[in-house]
Amino acid sequence: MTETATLNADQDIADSLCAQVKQAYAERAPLRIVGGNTRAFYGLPVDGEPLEMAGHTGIVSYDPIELVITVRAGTRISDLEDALAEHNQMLAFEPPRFGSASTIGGAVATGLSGPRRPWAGAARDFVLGARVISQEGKLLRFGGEVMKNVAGYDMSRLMVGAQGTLGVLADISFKVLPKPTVSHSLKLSMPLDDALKKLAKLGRQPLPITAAAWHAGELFVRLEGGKSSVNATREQLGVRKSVRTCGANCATWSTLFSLRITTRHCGGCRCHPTPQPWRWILPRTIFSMTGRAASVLSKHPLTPTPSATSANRQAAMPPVTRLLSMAVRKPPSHHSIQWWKNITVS
Amino acid sequence: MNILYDEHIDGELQSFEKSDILADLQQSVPSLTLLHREEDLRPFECDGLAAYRVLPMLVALPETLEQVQTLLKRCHALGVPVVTRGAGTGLSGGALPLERGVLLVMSRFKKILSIDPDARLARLQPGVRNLAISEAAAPYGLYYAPDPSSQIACSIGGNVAENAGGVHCLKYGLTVHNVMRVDIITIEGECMTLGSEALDAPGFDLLALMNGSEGMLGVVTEITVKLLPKPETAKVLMASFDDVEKAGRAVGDIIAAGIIPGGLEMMDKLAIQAAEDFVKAGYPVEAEAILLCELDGVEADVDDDCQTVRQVLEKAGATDIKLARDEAERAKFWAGRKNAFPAVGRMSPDYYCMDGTIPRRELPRVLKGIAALSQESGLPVANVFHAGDGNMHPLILFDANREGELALAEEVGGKILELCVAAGGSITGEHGVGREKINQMCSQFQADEISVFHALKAAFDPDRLLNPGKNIPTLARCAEFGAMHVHNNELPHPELPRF
Repeated sequence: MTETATLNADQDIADSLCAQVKQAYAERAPLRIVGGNTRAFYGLPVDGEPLEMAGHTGIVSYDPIELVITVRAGTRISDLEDALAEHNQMLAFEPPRFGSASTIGGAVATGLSGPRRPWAGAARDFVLGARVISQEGKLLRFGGEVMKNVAGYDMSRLMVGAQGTLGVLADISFKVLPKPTVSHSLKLSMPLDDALKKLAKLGRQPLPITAAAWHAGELFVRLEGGKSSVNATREQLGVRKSVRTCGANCATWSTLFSLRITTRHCGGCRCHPTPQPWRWILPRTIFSMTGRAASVLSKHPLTPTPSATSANRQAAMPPVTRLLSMAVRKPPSHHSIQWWKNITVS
Repeated sequence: MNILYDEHIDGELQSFEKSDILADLQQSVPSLTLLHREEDLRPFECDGLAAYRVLPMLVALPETLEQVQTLLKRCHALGVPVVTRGAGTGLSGGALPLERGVLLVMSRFKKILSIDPDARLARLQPGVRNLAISEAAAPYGLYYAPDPSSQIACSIGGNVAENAGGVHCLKYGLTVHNVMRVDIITIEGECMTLGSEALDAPGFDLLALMNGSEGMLGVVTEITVKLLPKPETAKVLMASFDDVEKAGRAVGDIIAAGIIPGGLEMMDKLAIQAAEDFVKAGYPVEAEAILLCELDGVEADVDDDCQTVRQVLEKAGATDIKLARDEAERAKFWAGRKNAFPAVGRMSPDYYCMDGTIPRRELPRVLKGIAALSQESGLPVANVFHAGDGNMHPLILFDANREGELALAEEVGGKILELCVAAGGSITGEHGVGREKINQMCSQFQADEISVFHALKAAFDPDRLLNPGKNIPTLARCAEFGAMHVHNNELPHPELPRF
């Protein structure tokens, strides 16, 4: 029953990767792990010999009925999503892509998630297991290909977002989900504070909302699920013919997907050629501080006039070039937590 | 092999006089309730895995975080091991005391600190009962999703320690998916906050790591959990099958139809009969297997899905399909499943509950293997299965008063777990390793992987004082257990003494 899909490039170079890591460790030579090289802007620049992951590709195993797929880290996100789409399934955390070369290993190493994050969960919530190359160049297996597994410490989830500082991700197993039967996105004109109030109210009801964003006076909401519930929710939101709607692949979601936003709202000028938005992740309690959200965002000394924010607390604001989550990043204070420091792979 | 702490293979523990430690702790934390007389210690000698009992040296019952912090600092300075215990309902001996250790009981921390309906968060002390969270959230139309069957008694701190599951994991996840933040105190007495009220935090995901770490890395002092809007409706279908394999295939068919049920449970004949005899749930006693499929969500969708599932079950060869007519009947269907363990307990003086997980497609093969082990040993095995997420709970029936039967039950249990590992699964889905499955860890992990676990433990607790001997076996234990993976015929760590 296990189905092994074959992609154009299906090759296992784990042995060679292990050998490279082993040698680098012996020589104490830092490595820079590179997949599609589309996320280099994220985190601090790394000085080291590249460890090329893009050649380690293909689906190791995929059984749609098990809702589990195991994939080599260098596989492009688009290839993986195509393979899942054939069986009407998806990666529910909607990994953002920063170009066609974006790999699934990079998505997991950076731990970024897409618009479904507040409802379905983050990248780490869908990682079931991983094979990881240790600093000594050994291939270690943590977690597995089953939904529930509490044996030992949860090393595979610890790898998510660790940016390769704890080991090199070789293969990753994910829980996947069926695609929703119906997907429908709506647009409602309202100021930011009203949008925040509305989302807080909607959040307390069991509605089929899977994404929400506010941008330039408009609240976007994506409804997904069964036909009946999506239609009922549309009516509840008061959306009738007069409101323009767009489908699942509506431009709004794909721009949020890649954490990019168009610059045309930036005072009518093109402020930045390749804007990379700030990404703030704020407590949902900001909703109960009605009115504060906009003022916090506008008064922050590092930010220009706010032009966009979203319900999943991703405030997308051109033109800035770094992610705030990295700027405010602090190392863990506890001295003994720095056990990873002696790892050369970075 | 005996699973009680054995210093020869589990590592040496420091020697000291109980009276010295007691005097020291009484002086350094004067307000702390410390139990030291045998009759006071007796109730704490085991957790939910009652087959194993050890009298702790001392029991500490703190009421303030300052007491916990000072106690930990003092134990750290004295080199005294600390085993943390919540409600004591764990099934893997995770809170099994040490003869030369302090048992730190967190059950007095049972305040719900706040419920924020707009943020959909609850801030809790670790001793809050799992069910109490949902009860407190109910007025806002919210609830806490993970529901281990001990939810009436088990505490949220223990849920975090074991990464507890329940019958709704496929759709709603385990504890790790529903916890936003935990505060811990390390063995050195340092307070740390992992995670936050925001969805993602920069840095290593130590929050994920803390879930399921079995009290080995820190003592959990506060937990913030996600609350979900209560589904508008929930409906349960019960399908009977004349063949376990057909029922197993039906589970795959439901998922292939694009449906993720809120709960999807399977029981075999012995479990059905036991449950029916006990709670009169209306189960078909002549069936070889039943499936309980709960669909929850928005009313209109649930009705559509019920139709689809009914068709799928018919096609899969179900001999009978019943939809619970009302809330009362739905509760009755679930009562049979939720009481399956005590029901089986009525059939036999003792039972031993396993917790392996497998890819669902392996179910027929693993069930055959279990049947063979049952026949060979003469011990009946009833099967209860979280079919949706591949988590099996075989219940091995035995009589501890009959010489050698406990040992035989343990042996059969160990072999069942090895079957699960061989099928690509895991030795534990939700109960944890604790002390119970310490030997089977050696079959699931290689020596290099176990060494990484030890390195991680050392980062938080270099002196191995927090819950020593649980969760991760020493390499010496694996060598003795004889299940160590030998790669290329090179014995890992040849420098270790073998017994």
